Amino acid sequence: MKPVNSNIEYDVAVIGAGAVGLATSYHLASKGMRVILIEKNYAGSGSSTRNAAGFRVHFNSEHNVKFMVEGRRRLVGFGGEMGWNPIIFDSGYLWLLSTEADLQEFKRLNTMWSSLGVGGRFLDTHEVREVIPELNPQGLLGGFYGPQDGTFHHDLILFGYQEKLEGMGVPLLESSPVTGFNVSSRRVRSVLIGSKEIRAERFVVCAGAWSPQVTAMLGVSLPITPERRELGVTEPVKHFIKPFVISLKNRVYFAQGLRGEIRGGVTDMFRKGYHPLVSTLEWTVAYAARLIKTLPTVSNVRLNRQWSGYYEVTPDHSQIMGAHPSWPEGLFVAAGFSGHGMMMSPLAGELMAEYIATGRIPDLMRPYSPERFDENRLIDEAMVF
Amino acid sequence: MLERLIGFVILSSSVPTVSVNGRLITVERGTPLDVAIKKAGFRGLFRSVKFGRLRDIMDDSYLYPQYKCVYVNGYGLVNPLSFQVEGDITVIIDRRASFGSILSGKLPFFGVGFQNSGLIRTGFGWKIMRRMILSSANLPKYAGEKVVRPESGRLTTNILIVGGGPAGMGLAQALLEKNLDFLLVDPNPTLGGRIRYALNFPQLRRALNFDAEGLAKIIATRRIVGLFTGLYEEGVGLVVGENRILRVEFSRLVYANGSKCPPPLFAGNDSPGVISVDYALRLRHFGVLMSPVVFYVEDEWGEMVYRALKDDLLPVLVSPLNLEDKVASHIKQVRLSSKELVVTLDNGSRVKAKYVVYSTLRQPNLELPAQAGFAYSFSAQRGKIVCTEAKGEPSSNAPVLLAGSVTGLYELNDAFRHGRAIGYTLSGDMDSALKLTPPPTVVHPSTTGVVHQDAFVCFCEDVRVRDFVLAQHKKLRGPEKTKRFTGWGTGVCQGKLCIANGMRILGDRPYTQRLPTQPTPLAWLASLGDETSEL
Repeated sequence: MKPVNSNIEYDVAVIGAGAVGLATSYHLASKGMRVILIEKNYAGSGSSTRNAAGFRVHFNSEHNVKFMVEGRRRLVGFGGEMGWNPIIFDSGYLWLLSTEADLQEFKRLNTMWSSLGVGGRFLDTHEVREVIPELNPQGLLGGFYGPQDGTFHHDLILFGYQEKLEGMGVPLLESSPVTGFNVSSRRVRSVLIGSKEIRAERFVVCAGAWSPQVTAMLGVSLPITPERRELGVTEPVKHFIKPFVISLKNRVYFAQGLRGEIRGGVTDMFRKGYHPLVSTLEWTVAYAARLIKTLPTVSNVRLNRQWSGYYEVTPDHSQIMGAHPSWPEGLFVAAGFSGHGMMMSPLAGELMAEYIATGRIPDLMRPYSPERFDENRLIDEAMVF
Repeated sequence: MLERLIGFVILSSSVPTVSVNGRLITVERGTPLDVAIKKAGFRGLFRSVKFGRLRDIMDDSYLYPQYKCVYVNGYGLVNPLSFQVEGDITVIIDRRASFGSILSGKLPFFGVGFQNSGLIRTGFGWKIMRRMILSSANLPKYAGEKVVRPESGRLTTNILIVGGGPAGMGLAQALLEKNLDFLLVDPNPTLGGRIRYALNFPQLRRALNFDAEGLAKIIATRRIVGLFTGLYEEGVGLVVGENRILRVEFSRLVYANGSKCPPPLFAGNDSPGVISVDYALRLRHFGVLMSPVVFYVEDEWGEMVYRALKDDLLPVLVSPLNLEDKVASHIKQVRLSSKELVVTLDNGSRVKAKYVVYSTLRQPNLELPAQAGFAYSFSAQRGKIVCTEAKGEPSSNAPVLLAGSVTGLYELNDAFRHGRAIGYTLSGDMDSALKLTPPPTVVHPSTTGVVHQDAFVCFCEDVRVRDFVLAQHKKLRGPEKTKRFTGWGTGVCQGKLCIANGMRILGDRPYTQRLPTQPTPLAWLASLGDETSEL
């Protein structure tokens, strides 16, 4: 890392070195801009290393589907471009459906998905059990299989960006929490890290669940709430679960990684607010019971590790990307990905960089402007697990 | 005909003959099979894939014993670590592991240890790698034996002591004396922890005024045999015993679980090397620890091992402590030459050795306090992890205290005194506590060693020293990034075997630990709730 000379003025200071901040910095630097990346802990220490590492194109909102159809291409192409293979596993997502209402809902959605070129397949109970014979068939009506979806490994995305940024000479300031900003004539002039002042033309807040805390220093309130969710992985067992499985009835999701570990969580247990990232016994017991209920053969498999992390949730479960006329000039935000930040990060970074470099809002990014909350143009997204 | 002939030859020999994949050797009766296999010239039992490389492993960890097996005629699959050669046998190790055989999915002995094969670019190479990983054939299957339903229950106490070593016993003694309500959790049937091995325990006990009657009382009424697997946010602890799982509620929790992890960093399993005392004992048990050996001893435990082994080993004892027959010095450097280790001492002399056995720098087991949200500060000296201070609030509402070695205290009697002091503190008797406040921790001088690049850091995930070097080379520095890059500490031992190893290399803080600290069957965890019936 190069020593940071505070007399240097940067084109852009990116705050938050999670996946979104790293991707944004990388694309900005690729465009020849002078970028500095500021991180309060270490790169990836927030939610980027704490997620379930699944990707899907199947969302409730057409905007999000379009976003992830393109985003998926970025993920798949990541290894070729960055030299780090993020272990893309085109395993598909399998939704286990148990009620007629769920089935109808997926049929409705699949019409939209098919029109966008990412239709999936409906499986009857027999076909579901062909995919995973060990699934408990009790109460199962069928399943929806999304072959375009899959899993990857988040750490490798982070490593890839870090290596590129290092190579491009972009300073990454770790253990550097932002303590304030200097604003004059309604324009952000510099960011403060204790006594250190870093001047830049523009400031992009990519601090995930902590973004509201950063923008609050500028008097800007963001509609982002942290939701603490928990995850667990088992010891490695022989590979037998191919898709990423979500059981709507048992409110549990799980997937098997390439190390053989089964990782997953429950869909309906979370705590709003900046609660410490620790584990609860309540979750542990519920997850174990629901996983066994869905997949009885795992009873003897041992839970090996569990942890928690934040979803950075907005009112419409979709991200905020861009700037708002009421904000001080020079402030941009890419945050609030509501649990989808990791899979969206490569594309989100690219779009933010394009926007900042050219001033034009890319079409894919347009629906996510922060103004949508004033104009009541909320995105209809309910598929959050 | 040929087979018969060979069979005849083998049967007629007076000492057992072992045929390992066709290589014939003779061994003494009672030789552990892994020693025999090594003697036959095999470096590893099975192969693992990591960073896109195939590697030989002779894993001596207790993990996954069910698939670290070799085929022995007449016996079937056996674990070579627990199998002793009593007669002529034929051993088959499937060493045909290659990219091709793994792709075919027919390979029975193929190790775990996939992490970061992301270094292999996308494309055809990755497709092959993925198939290799998916076919990792010797991972255990999910079903296994039939589910043992544990007895699940709840306990409530005022003070919960985790660990029945010197600190835990000191604490228990003080609490008994003050008539306070407590429970003590320890997984071992015999209390005492590390103190059980101290040669001078009887004297130590007298010197410390340890109350034997009190100890009996603790064993009878106050103890839970089980492993404390974690403190959850609700402020409750989970204890897993042999066939029961307990949810324990308490108003105070004291971690007194000290320095329980043996650090076998300088792995002696691949080459003669620099090893810990614990590992030396294990090698001695297997009959592969050979003279000359240099012992570097900084504590009573090391001295005890030295005395136990000195008669048949003729070791050189180097120690800064006041011991008989020692060379009063520190080790300055250990160099690995082609055949042996050259040990340079601070006093200028040099000794050649096959092994250098260290008894120094025992690591506090930091995982539980770290999970509870404590921040640690460590002395900056490379290779030292001495907790000088525990600060910050535990994340749960339960007040958590630390006693004994877990705080960085080193000597057994210090730990015992500290435990008592904590006990008196809890009872409000500050005068007695102050009298027992232990002397400041002595920071021992650093020792240096040349570490073999193939030495294990983490057994569960097959992480070697060279992988740490690679992480550094990739500029992924610090414990968290190193952990994510190599997989160090993410295996089923949850860092118990390897956290100290890694920290020694990095000279840094430990990474964030995860619950549960012992892998626990899902069915056991599920039995604690009523969700099973609800679903």
